[in-house]
Amino acid sequence: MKNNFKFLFILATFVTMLSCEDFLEEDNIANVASATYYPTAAGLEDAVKATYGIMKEYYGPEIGWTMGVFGTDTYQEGADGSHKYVNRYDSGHNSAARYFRDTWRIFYRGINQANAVVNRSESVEGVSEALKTTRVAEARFLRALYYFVLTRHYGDIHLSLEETEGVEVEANKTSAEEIYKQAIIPDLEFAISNLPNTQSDYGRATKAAAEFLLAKALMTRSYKSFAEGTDASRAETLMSNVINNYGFELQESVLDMWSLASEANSEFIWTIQNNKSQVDEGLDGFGHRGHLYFLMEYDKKPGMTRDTENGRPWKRFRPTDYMLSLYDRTIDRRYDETFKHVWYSNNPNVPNLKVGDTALYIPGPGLDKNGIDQDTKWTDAAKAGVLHQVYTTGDYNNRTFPSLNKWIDNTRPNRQHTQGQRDYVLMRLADAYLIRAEARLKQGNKSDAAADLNTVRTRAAWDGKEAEMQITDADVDIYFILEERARELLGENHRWFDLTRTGKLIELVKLHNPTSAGNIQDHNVLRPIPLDQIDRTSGGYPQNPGYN
Amino acid sequence: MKKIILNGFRLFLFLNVVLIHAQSSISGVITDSESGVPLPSVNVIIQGTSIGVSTDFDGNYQISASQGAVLEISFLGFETQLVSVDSDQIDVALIPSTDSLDEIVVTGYGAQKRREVTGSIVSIGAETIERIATGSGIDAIKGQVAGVEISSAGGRPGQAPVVRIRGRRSISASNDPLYVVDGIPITSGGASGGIFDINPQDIKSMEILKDAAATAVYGSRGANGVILITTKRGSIGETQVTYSGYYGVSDVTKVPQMMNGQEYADMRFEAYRQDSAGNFTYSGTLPTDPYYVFDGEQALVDNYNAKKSFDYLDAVLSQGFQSSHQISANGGSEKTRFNASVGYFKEDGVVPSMDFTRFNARLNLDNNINDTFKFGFSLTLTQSSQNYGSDAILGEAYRNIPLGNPYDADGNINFNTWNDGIASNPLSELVENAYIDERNTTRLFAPVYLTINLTPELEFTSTFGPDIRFNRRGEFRASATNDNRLGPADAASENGKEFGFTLENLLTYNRKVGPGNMKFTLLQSIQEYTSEFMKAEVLNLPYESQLWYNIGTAEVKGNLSSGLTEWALQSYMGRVNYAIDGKYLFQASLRADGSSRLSAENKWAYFPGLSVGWNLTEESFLQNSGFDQLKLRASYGAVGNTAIDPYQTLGGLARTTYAFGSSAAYGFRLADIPNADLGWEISTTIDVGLDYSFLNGRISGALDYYSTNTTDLLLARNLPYTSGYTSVFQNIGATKTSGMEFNVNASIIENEGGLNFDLGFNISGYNEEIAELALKDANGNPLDDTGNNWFIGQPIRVFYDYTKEGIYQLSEAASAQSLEGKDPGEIKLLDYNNDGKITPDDRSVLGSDIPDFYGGVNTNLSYGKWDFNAFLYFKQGHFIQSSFHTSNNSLFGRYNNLAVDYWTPTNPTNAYPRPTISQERPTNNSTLLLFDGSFVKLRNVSLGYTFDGDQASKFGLNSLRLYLQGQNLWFSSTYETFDPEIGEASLSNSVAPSSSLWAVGIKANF
Repeated sequence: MKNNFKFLFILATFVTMLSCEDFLEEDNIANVASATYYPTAAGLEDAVKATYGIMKEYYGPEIGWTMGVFGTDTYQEGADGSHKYVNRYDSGHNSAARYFRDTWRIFYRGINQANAVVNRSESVEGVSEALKTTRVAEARFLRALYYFVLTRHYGDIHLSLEETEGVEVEANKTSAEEIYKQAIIPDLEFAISNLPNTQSDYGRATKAAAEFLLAKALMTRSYKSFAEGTDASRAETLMSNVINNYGFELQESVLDMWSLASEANSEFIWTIQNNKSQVDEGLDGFGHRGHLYFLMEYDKKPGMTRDTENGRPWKRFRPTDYMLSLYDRTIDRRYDETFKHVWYSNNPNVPNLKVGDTALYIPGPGLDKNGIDQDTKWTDAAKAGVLHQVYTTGDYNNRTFPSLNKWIDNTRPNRQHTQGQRDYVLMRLADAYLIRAEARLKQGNKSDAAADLNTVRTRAAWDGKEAEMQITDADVDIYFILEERARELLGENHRWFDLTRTGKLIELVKLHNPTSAGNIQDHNVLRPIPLDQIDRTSGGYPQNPGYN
Repeated sequence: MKKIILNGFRLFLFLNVVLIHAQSSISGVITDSESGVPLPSVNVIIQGTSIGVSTDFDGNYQISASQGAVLEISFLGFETQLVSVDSDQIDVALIPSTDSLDEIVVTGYGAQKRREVTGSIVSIGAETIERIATGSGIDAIKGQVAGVEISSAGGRPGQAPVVRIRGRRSISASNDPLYVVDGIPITSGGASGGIFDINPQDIKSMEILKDAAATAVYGSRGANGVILITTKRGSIGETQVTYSGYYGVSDVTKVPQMMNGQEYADMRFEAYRQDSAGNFTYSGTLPTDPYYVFDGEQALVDNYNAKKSFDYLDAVLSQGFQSSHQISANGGSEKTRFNASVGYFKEDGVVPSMDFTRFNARLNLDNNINDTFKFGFSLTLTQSSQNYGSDAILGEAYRNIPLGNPYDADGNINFNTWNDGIASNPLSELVENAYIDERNTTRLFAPVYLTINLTPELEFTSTFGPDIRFNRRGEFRASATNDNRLGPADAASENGKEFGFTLENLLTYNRKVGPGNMKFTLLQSIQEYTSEFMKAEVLNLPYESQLWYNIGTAEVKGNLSSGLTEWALQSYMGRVNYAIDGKYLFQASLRADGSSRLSAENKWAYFPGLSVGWNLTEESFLQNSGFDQLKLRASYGAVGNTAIDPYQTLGGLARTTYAFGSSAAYGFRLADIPNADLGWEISTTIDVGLDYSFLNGRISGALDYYSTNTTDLLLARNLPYTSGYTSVFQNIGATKTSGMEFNVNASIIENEGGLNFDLGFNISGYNEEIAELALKDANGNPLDDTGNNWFIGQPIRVFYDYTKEGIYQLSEAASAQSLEGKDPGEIKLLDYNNDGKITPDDRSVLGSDIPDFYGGVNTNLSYGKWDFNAFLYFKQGHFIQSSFHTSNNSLFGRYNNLAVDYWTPTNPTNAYPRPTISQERPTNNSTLLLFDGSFVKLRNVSLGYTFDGDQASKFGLNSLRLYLQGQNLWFSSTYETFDPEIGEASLSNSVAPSSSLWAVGIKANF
């Protein structure tokens, strides 16, 4: 039995080794949890930053551009891309479509995040009340923005001002009227009362941004059946505050405004931030991708190859003939300053054409700056007589078309890089003038409306042509304002909202968008409720009228 | 728990002492009649009594018995002998049993004779595994075991197959079985990745534990079945050296049939059909000018006019190779025994640049320190490397149009074969060092045990099993790849380390109690796992030749990421086995498991198992019935599934990116809803089985019925987006799985040295259904969860969609427009609910991936020194999803297309819709995805010749076998596009095609 003792000793050793009390405790070293992190001062800051961060999924990537540009009178489809149903209002324009689903998902995630900040802020310790109020006001500003985006796309929608706790499978369909009344307007009123005029962190919400947004929301409501009588006048007042109180000013030239060197210029009221090192290093997977979608397929043309300077052409959006007809290029410099005319050869694959020589030339629509009609000047014989390619109106197709150069980003680390560093401009002063013009027109005040339009048009005039750009009261109507918005804000992603706000979507698309004209129907002023939402909601979720 | 073990131990000592009666003392030595080696732990029992002892390490026993009594001497793997007591010294040489019913079956924390097994356990021996030329032991048993469904996940070398034992139970948690290698549950390499690290030639046996009574000893990890892998160990005797190896060539079996140049051009002309206003519409006319149709691209027009056509698939696919070499040595003395091997395996896929290489070394050692102590280890050391290859090789080969120019005038690869911004030449992916995704693994798995034989009846074993795995992944994409499209090269380097260990204390006690043998097993176990990784990605490499080995030089730094995951499991298990006369068999077990992954209140759960067996052939009424065995088995057990990621109960946050001006402003957003209630998913199974054997074992097999109820499912439930979340893990809902399994092995012709013919057959079928989900109606009845495609009464994975009724014909233009806003030539949906409208309510469950039945047929034919084997397996009545029919069937003219019968105004087919340049893909094309996946495959054919005795000695060998083998030579299926065998994925561009293999092999014994 001498072994017994040995055995007992060893057994005791082994058994003891396995009796450790906290062996099963879980310690999440690599990550943080909401319950422990959000109540801290750093946690509150990070929850607010996250509320900003969520909108980058929409503002910057293809989804936001597609939802704002496609299916309007100013742009039709280019050759490539998967989301043409947004433009076409065809059978693919249905509740299962990805971008309608993702838009819904992104902004409800943002709303829940904002709700979390608002709800949880009270219990955060170690933060001054003043700072806490500012942060809550920022969150409410963002929540208003997110509700505003959603109700403009989908109409009557789910409303919740509380953070989701536990497993939530119910959803309500609250009328758009109540969305304005309970969420958008009170949130923005709170934001206006509590946000500072300037923030030490550039890009945080400010009082001016909240006033701008409320003005736009009220203007949007002013066309609705549930409009309130004061909507237009309040919008005018708010925009006057924006225009007068904060030192914003129109940039000298359009070129200056879009220069990457002066991104934080005084025309921009509020922009969604992109950071060069984040987008270059892939830390930011979204970035500003507007540089991809508006360009023609230059890189397959003789003498050319793709490079960073000229951009990565995804040829998604091709301007409609109507859009190109809106510019009087003899007095208005906006076409010439925002569209690309000349591509210089970067690929010596054509005899006699050296690198640096003109390879492609798009003289542009109608009469040029000097009053010469380029379409008649460039006869087939004239085109054959030059070494480079010349594309005039009759040559435009889904791959070859005038390319909007506003978003070009030649600072990207390589020609394939999709994330650009530009800030996404959501609010700028010219827009404030144009919205105020609309508010004034709505109140029957055409002369002040004309003054606002002229302010914008004066900046857009060639030097010495300012007088010719002036319009009179008689010129002002909603169509003119929409045209001016098209010229000034082209490609800035407001168009679908502009047309639905003013109730002109169906009419203008039928007139001017050849690929959508035959399909668009009255119910297309709203997007379909995503099928996932309907399927996942306990008891279902009502679809918008007109959609299956 | 400590107390229980100690108290139990004292009780055993007590019993041990009192049961030794003082009669005349008999002693002796029990040896193995073949080797003469003394056998320890042999049972010596006085027949008709409960008195018995076991031999010590030197085979000695001592027992008090009266003269004339009969000693019954029995030992696992040997024939039982009866000896009359006629002297004080009785030495017995036991004869190894040849009866298959006396074979030893590993059962998890122990072993049993086949005739005494009460659970549903299938044992596969080395000869079956070695026979198939493959890199994976799991792959080798495909189709051979009833109730075990093993499906290839594609033909990529080194890719682990999907293994499902008795179907699925869990919707969101894993359905992969637990693998236990040499007694240690493996922790690293994911669910099945770790199995690829083990050379199949090293495997002595694989036992598959199917029912809950068998798996209950593994408690929380037993729900999906357990696969026990035992590696070969040393045996006493002269050192035997064996070489085995083979070399084979492989060819692709089937790839999607794409259009040729003319077919593509026809489709493109059709896609450009337009009316006078320039609208692309079915009512327009076909264009006539190829220059227009090919977007002014002269090269395409030239190739079209010249009727050229380039077959990219043919250009990228080639012959593959497979080779394997292994040398092993086996031997040892009474004191120390060893089995050592080194192996090399290499497979080059039929898609060049996809390959898998493995080196492995093994040393299994057992040493008797003295009578009481024995220790040993099984050391596995593996280095493997998988070149994953670029998905763009096949993706682009499918996509590139046959009219483009793959080469320029000088014969160099054209990166763009035609004018398209997205497509690229698949041949450019195959240029050396253009695209590398190398996944290296170094694995060290080394269970070490110490056994203490306190008394012949009482044994204590402590096992420590470290499982260490280093993973290194290097990625490099050159400029001329589809990823970079002539932009600068990028690279990434990832290093990970997994460390898991298991520490187990096992106490077993054997005793004659009452009329039978009783065996107690007590287990105490902990397991811990830590995984960490670090990854760096960079862009714009200054020079390509560095691959990922100098990423600091990159002009742009990319993402940095790292992570840490830890979990722990703590367990206690007790089991008792009781067998009366080998006739009535009984087993009960209880395991308690605590898991770190679950919330504090729900960490612990208890998993009972109970089984009984009745060997009818031991009863007098079945004596001389012709049956060798007729055993009824019944079992009940509850097992768990905790296969969820750690930290799910805590409510994690996800990082967001933002910036204020030039300063970064990273935030943390809500990502997971915290669920403090997360607990165990429990599967309860009853199993009734019959093991049979008759005609002296010439016909044998088993029949099983089982039914499993799984409750408190760990369910990743999709939430409406308005909640701000997309899904949450919950214990909610229930599933039911029930099925039948049958197998028979027949020795049809038995002729020693002459003709032998064996036939094996197995077949299984099961039903799987969702019984309960989160949603309930007002009366508490369960409701379907359409948003997740989960339906009460339907299997877990179903295909739910509209039904394609056909294609809208010209005569249906009006209804096409009014019902669906479509035109003739588009997909016509079935009005499933007959309400005159097409709405989402017209979607229905179209089928599932559950087969009606599956199984295999195995034949062995031998004549003298020749042997022939053929093995077929089949799966019938399930659906598969073929993504080829959406991704390579977009019918819009931009890319090459599957050669399908599409609609045109003059070809009013109902098969596929009309091509048009105005669509990215046909609307509702998801209705084109579903196919019947039934197949029969000829898995293996081999012909061998064995030299032995004089013949072999001419080569200086003990024995030599040469063989020729063909694998996957033939299959039959109504699905014509691709090999239909696929796990639970969709057949898509990223699935490498399967291949057939011809191999020659040799096995030589020195």
